[in-house]
Amino acid sequence: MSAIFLLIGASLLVALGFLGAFIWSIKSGQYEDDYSPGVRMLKDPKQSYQSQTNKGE
Amino acid sequence: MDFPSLICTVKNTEKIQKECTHCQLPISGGSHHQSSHGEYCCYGCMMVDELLKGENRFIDPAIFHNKKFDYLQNDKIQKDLLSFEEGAIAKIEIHLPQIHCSSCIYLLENLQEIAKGILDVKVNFGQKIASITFLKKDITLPQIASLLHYIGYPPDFNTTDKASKKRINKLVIQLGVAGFFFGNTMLLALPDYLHSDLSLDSNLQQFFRILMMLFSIPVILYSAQDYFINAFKNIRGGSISIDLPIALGILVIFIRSSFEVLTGIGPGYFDSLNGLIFFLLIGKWYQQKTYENFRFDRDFKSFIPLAANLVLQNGKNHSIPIADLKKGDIIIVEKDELLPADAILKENQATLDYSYITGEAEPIEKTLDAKVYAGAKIKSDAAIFEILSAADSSYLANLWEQFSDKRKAASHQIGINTNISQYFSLAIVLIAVISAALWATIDLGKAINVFTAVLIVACPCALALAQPFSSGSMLRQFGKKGFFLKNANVLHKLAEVEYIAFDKTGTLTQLDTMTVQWHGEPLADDEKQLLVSLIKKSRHSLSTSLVQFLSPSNFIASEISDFAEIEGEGLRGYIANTYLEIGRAKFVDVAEEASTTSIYVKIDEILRGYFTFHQNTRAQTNQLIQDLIPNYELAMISGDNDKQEKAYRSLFGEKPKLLFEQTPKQKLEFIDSLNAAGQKTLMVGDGLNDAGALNHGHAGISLCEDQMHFFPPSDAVLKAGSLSLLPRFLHLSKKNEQGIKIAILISLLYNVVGLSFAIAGLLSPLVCAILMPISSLTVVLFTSSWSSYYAQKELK
Repeated sequence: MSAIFLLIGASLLVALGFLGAFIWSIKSGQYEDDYSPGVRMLKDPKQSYQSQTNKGE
Repeated sequence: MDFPSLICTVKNTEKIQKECTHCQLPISGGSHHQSSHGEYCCYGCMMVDELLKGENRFIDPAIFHNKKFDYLQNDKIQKDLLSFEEGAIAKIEIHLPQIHCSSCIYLLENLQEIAKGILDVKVNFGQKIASITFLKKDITLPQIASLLHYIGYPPDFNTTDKASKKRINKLVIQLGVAGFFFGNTMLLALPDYLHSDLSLDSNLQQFFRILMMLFSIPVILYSAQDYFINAFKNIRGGSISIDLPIALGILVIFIRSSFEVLTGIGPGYFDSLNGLIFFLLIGKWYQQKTYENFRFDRDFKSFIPLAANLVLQNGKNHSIPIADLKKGDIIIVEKDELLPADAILKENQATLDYSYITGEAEPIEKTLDAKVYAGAKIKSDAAIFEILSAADSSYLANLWEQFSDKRKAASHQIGINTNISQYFSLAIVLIAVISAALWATIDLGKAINVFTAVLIVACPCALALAQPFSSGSMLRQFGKKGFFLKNANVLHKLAEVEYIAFDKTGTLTQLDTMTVQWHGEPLADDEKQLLVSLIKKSRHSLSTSLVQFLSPSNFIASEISDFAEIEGEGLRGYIANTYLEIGRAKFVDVAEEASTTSIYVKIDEILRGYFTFHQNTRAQTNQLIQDLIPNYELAMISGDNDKQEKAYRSLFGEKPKLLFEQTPKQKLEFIDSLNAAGQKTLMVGDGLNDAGALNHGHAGISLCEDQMHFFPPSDAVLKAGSLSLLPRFLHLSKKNEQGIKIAILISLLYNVVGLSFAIAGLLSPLVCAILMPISSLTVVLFTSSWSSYYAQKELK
């Protein structure tokens, strides 16, 4: 039965990790705009003259 | 390449007449753009499409340069606006109210392809905000603003708000924490209920219980902290709200459960405790649905420009922030701009539109040295003014001050819950004391048990959930139909309304639409030709509607000789030996016949008749008034003249008060007089001239056209298109109250059951863990289905 102490402790650590991830995701504003990221993903990356030079800067 | 066409879905295919060539969404009547490539729903789509089809290179800043934004060059203003500045790179977040489809995102996020110096653009679609990172040496802030304006997204620098978002974020985290620990506590509590082998291993059992206790600590300290803070504030303020019994309940459950666990008597009620807090927070979150696009609280500064164009001694212009304006400054205000402070006109003639400030429908003429109030829109060409007082002591600002104190005082939470919870808390404490006292005569240990059990089971969870869920789902239904409420309290206030006061200009009537009527012998087509040739030369505000009304077939402009225009009076001139005179009665020298604004026509010295003008009432106005008359007392308070009193009298019937030529202050006083008489008044208005009345009324609704960001501060915003639904919204707000009352009854029933267990001394953690979620769930299901059933029935 004592294995269960270890198991619960371990699973709790994992779960707390997820809670931390959730809090981080809220704080970093990931849920603030649920529309544009989906659209943005479909955007063709245009490698124009300017955007290439920008990366150099 | 044309990816946006892939992601834009076509809705209501059977109803569409025209589709946007680019995004394939239906083209709505209001915005329509055409080019050689096709038809588009918005300028953005047209731009994107043309950029995609054409050879795209950087647009020359000279093309899109707009003098309007030169003021952004000012360092002080820039510092306020830029969210980040480091060396050569700067970042700004700009509110672009026009963002409305995926093509908008596409265009804006590709801005770096068409403008040199822009490094990156990120669009937040929900908030309609674009974050633009740019190189200061390649592009300036005025250039960015001009470019956005040029491509069809006029930036709005007056409205950006972050605070409310942060508050909601905190609530979501609190909810997440509570949910997490609630789940884990349930997991650990379950074995105890199932009487498994757990009781055989007392070490393991105690381990589980201690864990449950530890899980509850962050839930109470972090997730439930607002209840304690509010309860504390309540006690200090001498009032009781629903937060007090909740805080008390939470505290009692935790103390008793900890005691049970630490002494090893039982498992405690930690699962019920965490579940309770979790459910309460869900209710709070559900109710706090906010509309990201609006700000309901704003000050007068968001209605006037950020900067003024100061005229220097050497004749040059220089923009300065509004706050730096002082008495005696000379400023120049461009056409269609607002005057930022009270001033004296230093121009021989100017046409000013006061409609937003006073409610007057027609622009008025002012002459040299006339006093002009802040907020006037310049309708004629750019005019020069001498400032009379600083912007924050203008007439407009004073008006704002007058009602702002009341706004703060009124922001307290009110609702059915407040009333009930006062009795509820008292009753619960009484029951707990009495039953404990009775038990004390039998068994002292049991008495303490029963005392806490009563407080635990009676925790007004279901009671506290009734309003958030009912109102929350009502708010959502209203939002779908274009009625946006500031918060759930407004719903409660709307239900109490007995008296409705309407503003006229812009509320019952539609701005920018004039009905023109011709009185006299019908005009022949060649006469129309002559008149239109003459009228087209005039810059008067009525001339456009007159030209539209006449619209002769195959119009060819004729040569006019001896043309003369007396501003505000009339026009005269010769066209091929025909002498034409158009203007006011005095101007053409005839007796005034019409009772409203009118223009008389003389051809070769013979009076042919006259045109009358009045603002159209909205198509829905008639229906609206008819629907409201049986149930409410009505009134109309207008800043406009009384030329149309007859028409409105027949619309409203005999009883309602119709007041004309009301200043904003008089409007406010009218509402105050109703308040004093104990009437619960709803004010419906649209302009800043109604702002005082909107805030002094029991509730205030501001009406707004397509431009959803420009409305006076109020409790709710109603889209002009949904005006006719107002009676239904009011009816639904009453239904909502009814639903809440029934839900409260249900929760009281559960409490009776729970209390009888508690008083009998039989409340086990299991009973508590079953009863609490069930009662909450019933209330939630009942209220939300009640609300959506009635909302859908009424707002079909």
